[in-house]
Amino acid sequence: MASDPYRTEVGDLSDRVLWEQARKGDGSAFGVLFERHAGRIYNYYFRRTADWALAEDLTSTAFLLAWRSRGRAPLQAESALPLLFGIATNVLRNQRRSRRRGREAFARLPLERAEEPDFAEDASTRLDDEAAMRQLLRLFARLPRREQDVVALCDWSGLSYEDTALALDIPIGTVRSRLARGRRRLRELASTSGPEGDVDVVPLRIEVNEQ
Amino acid sequence: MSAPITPPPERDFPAGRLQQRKEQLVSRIYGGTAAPARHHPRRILVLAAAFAVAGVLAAAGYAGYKLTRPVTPVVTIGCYESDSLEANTAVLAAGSGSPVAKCAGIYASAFPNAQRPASFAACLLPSGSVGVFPRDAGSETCKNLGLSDLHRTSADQSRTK
Repeated sequence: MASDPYRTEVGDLSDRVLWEQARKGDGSAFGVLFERHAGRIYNYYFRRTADWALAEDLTSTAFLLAWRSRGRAPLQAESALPLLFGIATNVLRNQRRSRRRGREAFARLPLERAEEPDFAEDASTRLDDEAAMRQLLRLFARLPRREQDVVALCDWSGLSYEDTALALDIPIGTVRSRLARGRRRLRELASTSGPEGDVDVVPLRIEVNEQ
Repeated sequence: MSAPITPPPERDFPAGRLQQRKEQLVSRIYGGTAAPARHHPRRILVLAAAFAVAGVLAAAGYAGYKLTRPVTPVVTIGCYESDSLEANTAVLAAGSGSPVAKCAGIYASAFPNAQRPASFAACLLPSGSVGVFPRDAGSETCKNLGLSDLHRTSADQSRTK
């Protein structure tokens, strides 16, 4: 079937257009943004928490907060990703409180966890991922929080310096210097640590900003 | 041997769960407000409305008080011998009738040594009572004493009533 050249699918619209529509109250436009970027945020959260289930909850929370703050958050880039990663990082800082809030927000909408055949198929792989990520986070948690954010966004999530600067609302020069320090520290920590360690008994450390 | 510093590869958001989460999000969105979120707009509106209501109530209360408050009755009239607040004074019960006429009626008996003035001025004293003073023709007695003029009349006119 030939496509109508005069018709633009919502999914074809740019992030900027979708965001502007969302700012006007269009929830379906925001839904498209969610579909488009949830995967990136989900993986970012997994790499910060080593917990796929928590990453899923946090992703929903971050997008809900993005919707609520859309009125005072114009897009500074063509992509919504810097903004979403910035919100996601703030959510992480307030992880305990935000998770509780997120659970309350979604508590009235029961999730049908039984229908997860695709998740069950690679459950074993994901468990291995969690174990490996916990081991890495054990080192990572020893970096200053500011360096953690920059390394996680630039190196683990593939954001450019410019987008990382937008996400964290810091100058690009600061991104570069924090990234260099963070990488160096992480290499040093890795070189002085064994590959095994006490992975299974070390609790995940996430800095929580209680303010 | 060193510990790995590269995280595991990215995984897809499980497809079915992505759709579920999206539906939840959109439901949540439409369950709330459709207007762009602003800085606590509801709280600001509620506060503004509360202040407005409080202002209206205060204005209405003040107006009601002013309109319905009991009028302090004038219970006494001070008849002054001369146009001075320091002069000898005869105090009369207010009752009915013109204060000027009452003072004119008792002036000769109250102040036998004084010459009966041609006219009187009735002024409002700071206490709320009425003070009646001898008045020279053409003078503004109340104003000169720093009082407001209750009304101006002459003893002769009141005698004719």
